[in-house]
Amino acid sequence: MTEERKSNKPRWAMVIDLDRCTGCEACVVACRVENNIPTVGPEEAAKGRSINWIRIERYFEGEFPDLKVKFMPVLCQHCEEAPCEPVCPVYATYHTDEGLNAQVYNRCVGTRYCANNCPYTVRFFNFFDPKWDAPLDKALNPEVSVRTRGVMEKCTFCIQRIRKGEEKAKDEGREVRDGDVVPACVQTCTTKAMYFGNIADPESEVSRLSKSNRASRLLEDLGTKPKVIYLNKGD
Amino acid sequence: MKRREFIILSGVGATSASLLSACGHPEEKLIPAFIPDEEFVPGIDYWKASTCGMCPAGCGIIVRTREHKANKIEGNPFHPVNRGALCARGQAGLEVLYNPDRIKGPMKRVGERGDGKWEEISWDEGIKMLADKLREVDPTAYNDQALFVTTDSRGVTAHVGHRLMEACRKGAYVVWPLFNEVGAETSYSTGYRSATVFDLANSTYLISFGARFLETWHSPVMYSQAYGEFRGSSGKTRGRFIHVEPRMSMTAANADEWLAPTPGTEYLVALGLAQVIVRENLYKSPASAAFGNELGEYAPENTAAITDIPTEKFIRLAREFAKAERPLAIGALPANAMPAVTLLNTLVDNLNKKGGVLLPSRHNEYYGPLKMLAPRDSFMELSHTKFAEARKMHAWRVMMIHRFNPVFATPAIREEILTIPFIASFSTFMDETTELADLVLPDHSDLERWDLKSSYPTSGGMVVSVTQPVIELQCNTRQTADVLLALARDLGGEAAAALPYESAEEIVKKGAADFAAHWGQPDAETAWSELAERGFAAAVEEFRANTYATKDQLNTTLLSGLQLKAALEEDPDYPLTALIYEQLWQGDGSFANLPALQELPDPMTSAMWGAWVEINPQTAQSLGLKDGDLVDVQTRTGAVRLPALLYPGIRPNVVAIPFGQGHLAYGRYANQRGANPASLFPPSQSGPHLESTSRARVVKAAGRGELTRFGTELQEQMEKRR
Amino acid sequence: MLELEWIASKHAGRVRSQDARAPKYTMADKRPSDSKINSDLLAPVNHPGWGWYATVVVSGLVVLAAVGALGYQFTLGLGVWGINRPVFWALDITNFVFWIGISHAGTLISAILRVTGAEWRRPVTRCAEAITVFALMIGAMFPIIHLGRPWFFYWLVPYPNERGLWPNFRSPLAWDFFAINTYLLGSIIYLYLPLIPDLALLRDKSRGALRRIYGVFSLGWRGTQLQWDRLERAVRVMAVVIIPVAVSVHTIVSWDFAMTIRPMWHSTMFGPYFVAGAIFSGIAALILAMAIIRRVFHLEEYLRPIHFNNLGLLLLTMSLIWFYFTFGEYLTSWYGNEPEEMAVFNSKISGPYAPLFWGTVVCCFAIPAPMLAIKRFRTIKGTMIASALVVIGMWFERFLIIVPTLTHPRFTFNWGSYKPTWVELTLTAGTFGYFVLLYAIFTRLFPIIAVWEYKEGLPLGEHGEPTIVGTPDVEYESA
Repeated sequence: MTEERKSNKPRWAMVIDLDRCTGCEACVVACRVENNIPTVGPEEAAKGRSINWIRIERYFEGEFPDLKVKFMPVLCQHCEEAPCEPVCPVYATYHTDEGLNAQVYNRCVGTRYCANNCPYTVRFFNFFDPKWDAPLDKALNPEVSVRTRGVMEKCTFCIQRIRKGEEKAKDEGREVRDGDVVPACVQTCTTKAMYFGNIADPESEVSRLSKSNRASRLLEDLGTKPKVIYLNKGD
Repeated sequence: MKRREFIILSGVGATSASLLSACGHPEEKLIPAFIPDEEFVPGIDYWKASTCGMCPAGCGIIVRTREHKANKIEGNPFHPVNRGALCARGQAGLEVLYNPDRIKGPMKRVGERGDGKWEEISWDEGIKMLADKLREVDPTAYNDQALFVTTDSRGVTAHVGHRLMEACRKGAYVVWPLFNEVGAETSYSTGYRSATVFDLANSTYLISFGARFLETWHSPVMYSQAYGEFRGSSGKTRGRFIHVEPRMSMTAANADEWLAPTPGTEYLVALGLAQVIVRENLYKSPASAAFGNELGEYAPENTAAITDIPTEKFIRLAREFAKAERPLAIGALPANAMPAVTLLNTLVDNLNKKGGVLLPSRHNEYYGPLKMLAPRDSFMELSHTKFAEARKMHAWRVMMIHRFNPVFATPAIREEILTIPFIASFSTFMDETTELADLVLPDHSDLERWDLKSSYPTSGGMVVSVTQPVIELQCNTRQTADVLLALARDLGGEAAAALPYESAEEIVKKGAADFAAHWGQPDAETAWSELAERGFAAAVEEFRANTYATKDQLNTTLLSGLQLKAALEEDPDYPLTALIYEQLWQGDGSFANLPALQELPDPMTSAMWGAWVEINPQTAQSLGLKDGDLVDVQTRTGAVRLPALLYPGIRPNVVAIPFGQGHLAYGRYANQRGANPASLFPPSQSGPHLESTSRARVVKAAGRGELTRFGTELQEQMEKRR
Repeated sequence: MLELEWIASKHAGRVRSQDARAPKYTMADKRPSDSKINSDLLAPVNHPGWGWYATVVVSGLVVLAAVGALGYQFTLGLGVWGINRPVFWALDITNFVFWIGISHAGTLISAILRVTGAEWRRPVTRCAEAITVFALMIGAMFPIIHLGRPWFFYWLVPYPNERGLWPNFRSPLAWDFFAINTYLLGSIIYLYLPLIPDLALLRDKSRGALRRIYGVFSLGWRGTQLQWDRLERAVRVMAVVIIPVAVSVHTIVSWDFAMTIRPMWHSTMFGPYFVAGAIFSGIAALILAMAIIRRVFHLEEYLRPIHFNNLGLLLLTMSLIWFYFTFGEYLTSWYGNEPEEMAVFNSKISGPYAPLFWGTVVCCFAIPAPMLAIKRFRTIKGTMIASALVVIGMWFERFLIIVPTLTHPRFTFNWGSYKPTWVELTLTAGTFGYFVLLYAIFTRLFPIIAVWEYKEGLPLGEHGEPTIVGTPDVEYESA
């Protein structure tokens, strides 16, 4: 599925300016709240099972006192050529006609093959049933399904917000435009380091920024064609 | 019913049913299997504006509700402080509202203090009980007093509480400042304390002396946004940012250059820079030459050995700073060291200039009719030392505690608090101090109560933000201001006369509407309805370039409080320096009961669900420590046992411990997790209002600590990358 | 030529002349009487002995424990395993690959030996074929057990369904489904066909209900010429067909890894590498099984040192091939020096997995290869020790292929580690217990050495009378 072939549909993409990202992790919590991501608790977290659809990867370079740090928010890259998609035996992960890499929880049987083939390690598995101590479950977002044990989950680019934005545009009888769809992480970003929009629309902010000479994509040489574009640090 | 409505309704039904099914009602499952998420029809949301209560910054929020449940908090896009953004703390606000460990209603103690045996009582009974205790206070006795301790220095509680305490004649309304107040109180030692803002966005060269403006200083979201613009927006060159702090905080990690001086000598770095600027005649204000002599002592050549920053670096940075287009210095140093930072700003003459320090000139007019929000000097400020001294003088009979947990902040204070005959707590949660209380009258969460908050956006002027209930009450709680009003009515006489209000709601509505009307709304009624919807009202002022206070500041006495010395005395038995720091995620420890923040990986260490000791890998090697080894950090005052975390971003021979964990109460998520480093510091120093340092040593303890990380162990990662 | 003659000899009234080329030493030098052969080879079926009962009880208990562990896992979720992010597969898939590998013992060895007409195979084939079927059954359980929602395993099965979805035929897991099922079916047929004459023998020797059951499964075998012809042809066809199927199965299993883009998985030689490893571990398993059977059922006369010698030589060959592949695989990674590959490589060569890695090299090559190369050590005991080492080594080899790659994702921030829990260890022990149990039960129901095949290979009788190969107790009809 190439971008040209489905040009009438929006192609959702994200731009993250690494020069602006401070690593404050507001996006991480916003994502957790918006997408009903359970906290797994200290014991499970110690086993490496906590779930963060978006995370801040932090890399140190050098040694004290000439130490440099790089923060890199990593979420599902929504690859055009997603390695996770062909390996799923039950089509639980597949490509939507808007180019999103979708995960249908109901279809998932939990082979975890997709997670093993994801070069970005952005897929998460529900090792147990999610649990919210009452009344914390009251804060669950009714538009996002809660995932049972045994299924994979990952960033959806806030599909529920995309749906909402598209419905709104449809009601107003127009194409979607910048600002119609804002995922939770982009919405809360304290430094406005994140941008979201339709990359098929040459007028959109993400289109403009993706052409920046600072733009690059993660592991480009793997040919996965990610739809998250990073603007490298300046200086 | 129209087709569209039906579809929307079925969408709502379907999605909520899917939730229910996950919660144990599979029979209500309506969604057939295999319908992908992207084919759901979204429902309709209802948003209500309010103000974030997770820190004093006063960010505007909007809360999304559906079917009487709040399910998301977002930044209010129109609010001038945060312009739609919200930090991790603010995003976790719903976990306060729906926290399973909230106190469900008023209670009185039945066992011994601290036994944890409580009996549920009615609100009337509780209020009467407290009123009776207040009546026992003898107005004629010099040393008989009631005490109201809080962290709120402004807003409805302060207004009501202060008046009530005054009316009780022998009552005292006491503010015990928290971490977050540090910056606000001392960031700019001259001029208006809290109204001062810094035009980071337009500055081109920023030096921060320990001011972690991206995490905890002043208003993290506001300054994060400014930082984003500082780094580059269309038509602006990329600003350069230098951060001075012994430990690499997240803010330091974002700096272009990080200077790690000996702890406590940050001000010497500032003075060294100033000295170079003066001696090389790089200053912009002509009067600066006068500092030449006073500063001589602080020449980098003299201080380099103490600060451990090479002289060449001083000279280069001083030149860069002075020659930059719009330089700016900020700091979060102890009050007596702040003049050093002020001096740098004075030398480059950036007061009330684009990209500089902004002091609003009409500050006092902002409040208009809303006097309750104006800063009040008459509040007594308390710290542990002052408390101990005051305790000797006053036989406090009744202590009321509101939004503050002194037993956690200063564990040593516990015994002194126990000597007070009657303690009433207004806490929402069963914290360490509330455990000692005789009466618990739980307050609402921030999403259920009424309040007003003032804040100063960098765009100028002042914003008054409305805190209003966004959801019905979750527990049998009552807003503390309302309790105090009821108390006043019960007490009658002077107290009742001083507080002629029905409720906090009335105070807020009237105050906000009056303020809005004063600042341009036609009448109070319209003003309120608009306010309720928008969540805030603003007094707008353009900052004007003026020379206000410049002359006053150029006073050599500015430096009189400073001394040239290393921060801490050498101590042969305790060769290391220990320091504690505040995280955005744990704050002063009052967010340790929020699972979303407990499970949020610390961005620097990636650690979660606990506390740790950061040690430089070199130091660790010399002590024979490996990552995750359990160690005892010992000072002359106390010791804590925590896992060692080998952290490359800290000076050798310095260890750092995050503050906020180590609760001995405070609900299932916080209790018995990590350790509280407060005991490492002498009582005079400790308490979360000062980020303390102390001489310390590290001793390896048996076993491995519980160190949970989301990412890889730092050391392994670094070695493997090479 | 040999084969043609062999086939021709079948047509000559099932009479086989003394064949000088038939290596004498693989069988008894002198032809024992039919009744002795029958009683020896059917002894395990008739009189299993206390060793057999002990084996069944012990392995049965281990299986029960594993079933308990499985129930626990199904009730609570996969969280009771030690898997985590990023190690989503560990012992589950290790056991899967290991047992599928073991399953290559049989079919492949017995088929190759049959096709090449190796006479010494005769007492070995059934042992091997049974290993195949049971190992495959156990291996094939894991793709189901390891699912997050195992109760939906049938979603992997291609059939028109109400969900309106076929499985994704692009997924190597869907290929697995076909490959394993084909192989399992083929292996069962391949085990069953040569079992028919022996089933008839058992039928004739048993009474009551058992006789009826054996009767049903012996498909009315009477040892007529036509039946023999058909059986021979079917066995030969299956022998030829099962070889590519077996090769494809482990190739496809290897593709579960090789088709991904993970460092040290994405390798073109994984197919042959896995097949070689499979045959390697399969032979080792076979030698172990034979040695135990020989001892437990007193079949010293039938399973002779020469069999162990020959299988030992095969094992040596496979050990060398395994080493060649391993060396080639690791050398190319090392020489290529890509950081992501090197992270995995280093973790195995010198990192946390080094003890396991070098242990594997010792178990699979450093000890068995020289040992098997020296004739003096190629004894029953010697080959048994070597085989035990190889089985252990190959299990860890599978583990080392899977886990170190998973603990080292491309971004170092996400590196992880893995420690198994008791549930996984119990399940692993359970697979061995289950295998032993199934095998023991098999020996109780069927002769573990093919009676007719053995007899067929014997020299002519003492008095030069033609050996009649068929159901021995049936009256010889016509020459």
